[in-house]
Amino acid sequence: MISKKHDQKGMSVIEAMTACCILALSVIVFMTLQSQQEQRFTQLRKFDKAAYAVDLMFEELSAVYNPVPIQYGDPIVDQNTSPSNQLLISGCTSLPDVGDKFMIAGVPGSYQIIARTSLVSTKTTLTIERSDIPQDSPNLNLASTATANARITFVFNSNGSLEQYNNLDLLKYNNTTYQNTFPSDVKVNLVKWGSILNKHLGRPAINDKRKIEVIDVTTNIPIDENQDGITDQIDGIDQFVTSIKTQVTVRIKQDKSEEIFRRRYTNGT
Amino acid sequence: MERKIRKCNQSGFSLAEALVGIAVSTIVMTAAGFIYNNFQQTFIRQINHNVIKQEVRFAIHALQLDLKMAGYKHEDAANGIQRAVYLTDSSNIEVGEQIEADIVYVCYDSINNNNTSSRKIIKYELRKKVSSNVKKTVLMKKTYNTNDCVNKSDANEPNWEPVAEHFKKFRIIKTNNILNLEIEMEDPGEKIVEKYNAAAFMRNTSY
Repeated sequence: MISKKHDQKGMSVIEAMTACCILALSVIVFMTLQSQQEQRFTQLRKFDKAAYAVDLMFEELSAVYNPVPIQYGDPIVDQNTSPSNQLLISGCTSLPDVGDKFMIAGVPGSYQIIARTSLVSTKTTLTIERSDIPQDSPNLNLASTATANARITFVFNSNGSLEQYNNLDLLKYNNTTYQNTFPSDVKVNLVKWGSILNKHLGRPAINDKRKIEVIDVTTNIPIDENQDGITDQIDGIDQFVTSIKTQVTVRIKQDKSEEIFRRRYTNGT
Repeated sequence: MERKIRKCNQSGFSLAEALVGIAVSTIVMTAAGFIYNNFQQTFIRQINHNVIKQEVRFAIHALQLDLKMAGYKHEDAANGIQRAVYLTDSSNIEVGEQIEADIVYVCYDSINNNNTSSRKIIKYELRKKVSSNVKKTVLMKKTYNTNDCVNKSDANEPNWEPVAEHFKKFRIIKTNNILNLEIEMEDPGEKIVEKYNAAAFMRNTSY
């Protein structure tokens, strides 16, 4: 029995199979690592190109952004008006846009244009609602009587605002129903940006995100006119100057990776 | 007994063992070589990709720097800017809005070190690396002096300055005051082609 064992040469089947298994495992481990590295590299390439596409979007939004309100000539209230949601104005050289906001001399609050009629002899009838109180307030009509010839000052230019891009879902760029919920210039950009991202990132998976968010960011900056390092005070109260910037965030989620791109816009930038 | 002694005297592998050993080691070496080669290729591709990333980043930065300034007139400049941007195809024929152009000229007033301003026309074009090359792969820039942004005032033709290389395609499309750039880069190993989109908003032009 003992001599038989000594006579044995080479490997047993079990030894050979164990060796093969170890070899196969190491090959699988290496191949998995290689495949993961390849996937990460591909993802990196995609996000790198997407970053340029997002920069393109930010540049094009710069061209849209124009927060300086347009006055459309010298608009005034055309005739005495009781509180209502309609206002006839005159003195316009061009037609104000839906979404523009204005104030009326002698009337509290600011108002947003919901609809308007065509311009006839510098006159247009605006359908309005108050924009300085919450949307669920029971009465959004004119706060009080507007007097004829009261001056109208526009305070917000809807066309130059980035608000219209808030919550824009770039994944739905080729959905006609979704496209038609936006003004024509937003629609053009939705299609253009959505298709560029699709070109660089490929078809989206179920939980992927390609979204634009727009918010106003308010920052209180301490005033220190005499540069002594201490915030100036009036009657013991610290003085601040408020800076409002429009912040655009583009969120891109692709598989397990999510990247957030941000740019802030301020008047004159 | 005689057989047993013969067996005990045996040393080294038999032919069959040696063949099996060689076969196994060949498989192992092939697998190892394949894996190593794959790693090596990925590594080389990543290096080449980094090269084109670096080149395109610099190119886009340089282009945006000039294109965004198109139309800028310094307050001390006597003449107005007659032509902020001018796009042509490869035959130097002007192309209009929303049509792909190969060459871009932008004009603006730049500030010199002594706080004076001078008006420049900057031209960007894809050119061959050396005259014997077939492909145009290098983005080059030429800077002319001008008074009105239309006529060049240099006595001699200025030299080309290379901006970035490894280009495969470079197109410019103008829409109002936005210049869109379509760029394709090819890595030095000619295995990766990457497409990039960028834009420059010309803040100093109004349409």
